[in-house]
Amino acid sequence: MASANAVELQGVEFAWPGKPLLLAIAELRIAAGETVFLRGPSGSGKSTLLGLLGGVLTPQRGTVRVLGTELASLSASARDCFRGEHIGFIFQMFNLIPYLTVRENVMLPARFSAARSARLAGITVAAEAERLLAALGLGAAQLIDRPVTELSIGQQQRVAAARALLGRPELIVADEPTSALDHDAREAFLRLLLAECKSLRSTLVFVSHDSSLAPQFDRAIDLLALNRAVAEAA
Amino acid sequence: MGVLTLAWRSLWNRRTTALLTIFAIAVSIALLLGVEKMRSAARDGFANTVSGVDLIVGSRSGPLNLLLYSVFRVGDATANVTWPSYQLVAKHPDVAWTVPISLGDSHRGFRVLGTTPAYFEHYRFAGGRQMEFMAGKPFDDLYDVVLGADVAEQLGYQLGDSVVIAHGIGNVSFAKHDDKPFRVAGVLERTGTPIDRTLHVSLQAITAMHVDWQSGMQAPPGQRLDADAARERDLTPDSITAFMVGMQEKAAIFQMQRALNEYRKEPLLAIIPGVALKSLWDLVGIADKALMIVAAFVVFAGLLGMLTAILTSLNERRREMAILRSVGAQPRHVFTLLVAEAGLLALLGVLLGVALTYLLLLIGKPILEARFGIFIPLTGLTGYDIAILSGVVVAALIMGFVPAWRAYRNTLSDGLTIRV
Repeated sequence: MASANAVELQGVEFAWPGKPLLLAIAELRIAAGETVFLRGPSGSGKSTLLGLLGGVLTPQRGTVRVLGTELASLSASARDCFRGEHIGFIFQMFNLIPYLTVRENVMLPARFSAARSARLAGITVAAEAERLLAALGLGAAQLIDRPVTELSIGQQQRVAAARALLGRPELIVADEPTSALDHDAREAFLRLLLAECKSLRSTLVFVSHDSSLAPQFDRAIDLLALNRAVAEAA
Repeated sequence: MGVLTLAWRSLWNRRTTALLTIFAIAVSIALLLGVEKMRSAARDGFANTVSGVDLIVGSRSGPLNLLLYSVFRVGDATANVTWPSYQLVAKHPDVAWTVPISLGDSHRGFRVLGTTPAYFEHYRFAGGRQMEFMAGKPFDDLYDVVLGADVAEQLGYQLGDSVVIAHGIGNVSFAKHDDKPFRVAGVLERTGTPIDRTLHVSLQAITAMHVDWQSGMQAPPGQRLDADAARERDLTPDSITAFMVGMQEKAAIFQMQRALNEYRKEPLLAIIPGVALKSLWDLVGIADKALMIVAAFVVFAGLLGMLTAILTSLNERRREMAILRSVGAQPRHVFTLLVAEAGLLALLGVLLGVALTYLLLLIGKPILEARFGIFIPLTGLTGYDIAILSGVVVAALIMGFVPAWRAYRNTLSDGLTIRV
C-alpha cells in the first residue's frame, strides 16, 4: 500500500539547531509515476525539502517516506546508498564533474550504486548511457567522449538529466534545472525530460519558480502554501 | 576501484598544480635518497680506507691526528719517530712486518709518501684488497716514483715521465727539488682511497732530496749535491714520520700497543686503525646525521606543500563533492577520494624522486669519484631505502586525513546544496 506513493511526508518539521522553523509540511503525497511541478521561490524552504527527500537532512518531527521506506529508519550510510539507488538528481547548473567526459558523467551513478547498473538487465552501462544521451538529443558520437566543459549549458543540463535517469531510479528530483536556459532550450529540455520519465515510469519532482512551465505536469503544488512555516510567518 | 580512478582523473584535471606538487616531493625524495646513498658510500669508503694493518705508530700526539696524516694524508705530524726506535720495533720477534712512511713533500697539491716496497705488499684496503699496478712496477731505482690513479689521470702522467717534487705540502710551493727529478716507474689501479691521490717514492729518495738541505732551507748553490752524487751517500734516514706494523699473532697486538705507548726513551703513540677509524667516524658521523635530518625536513616540507595544494583545492571542489553525493557517494567515499589523492601524489613523487636520484647518481658518479674519491656503487634500493620511501607515502596518506576530514565535514553540512 505504501508503495503506491513515491513520496509521502507526514507532519514534517525541520529547523537548523537554534534557528527558527524552516519547513513545516502537514502532508504531501506524490504518487508513483506522477510528474509534479513544485512552485518554490527562494526562501520557500525548497532546499530543505530537497535535502529531506534526498535523506541528507532528517526532520525533527514527522516522517519522510520515499518509495515506502522511512528515511529516518536508515543509517546515514544506508540513506546514501538508498539515494544512489533510487533517486536521480538534476541541479540548477554545474551538474557535471568537470574532469570526466560526457559519457563518464552519465555513467557516474553506476560507480556508487550496483543496483542502478543491475536494473539495466542485459544492457551495459555504457550502452544505456548512449541510449539516454540519444533520447535527450545528444546522440552525436563525437560529443560523447568530449570533456563536459566544451558543452553549452543547455547540453550540460541534458547530460545531467541523462545521468539522473541512468539505471531507472524510481524518483527524479530536479531543482530549477531550466533556470539557466533560454526559452527554446527550456521547452526542449522539459519535453525530453518528461517523455523519458514517462517511458521509464519514474516519478518526477520538478522544482521551479517559473509557473509558466506548470501546465506540462500532471500536478502543480505551491510550496509557499504547503510550507506552514513560511505561510504563517507571512 | 571507482574512487581511485576518480581521484586520478581529478588530479589529471589539475595536472599543472599536481605536477608541481609531485616534482617538489620528487626533489625532496632525491635529496633524501642521495644523502642516504652518499652517507653509506662515505661510511663504507671510510671503513675501507685501511685494513691488514695491526698498528700504526707515530710520535705522540692524538690518535685521530695520527690516523689522519698517516692514512688520510690530512694534517701534519708534529714530530717524527727516530730511526733507532723504528728499528727496535721492526726487529722485535713478535712483529711480522713493518712499513715506514715519511711525509712532508708534495707534487702539485698531491702528497708524496716515502716508504719501502713492502708498502705495496702489506697495505690493504676495502676489506683486504691489495694494491695492483695499472702499469709499471714498484719503485726500484732511487729516483723512481709510483703514482696513485688520480695523480696519473689528473696530471696526465705516463710511465717514464719526469716528475719534480716540491718541498712542503702547499698547493703552490716555491722550493722545488728540481735538481733531483723523478721518473714514473708505476701507476696504481684506482682504490677509492687516499692512495689514489698519493705519489710513492722510496724512503731513501726522501733522504736524498733533503741530503743537502739544512734546517729546512736548501743549501746555497755552491754546496749542493747533484742527483748522482747523492746516490753515493748513506741514505738511511735519521727519522720517519710514522710506521705501520703487522704482528705475527693477533693476540699480541694489545701487548705491543701498550709497550709502545709506555716506551720511555721516546714519546710514541700506537693506534689500532679499526678502533681509531670508528672513533673518527663517530665524529664525522654527526655531520652526516645532520644532513639526514635536514633531508628529512625537506621531505616534510614537500609533503606540507602537497597538503596546502589539496587544501586550497577543496573550496572550489565543494560542488564536485555535492555532485558525487547526489549520485550516491557516501561521505566516506569523499574521505577516501582525498586520502587517495594525497597517496597518489606522494607515490608519484616518490617514484619520480627515485628516478631522479639514479639519474643524478649516474651523472655525478664520475665527478664524485674523481674529485672526492667517494665511490658510489649504483646498486638498487636497499631494504632501508624502501622502508624510508614507504614511510613517506604512509606519512602522506596520514596527512591526507586533514583535507579528507575537512571535505567530509563539508559534505555533511553542504548535503546536496551546490555552492558556487
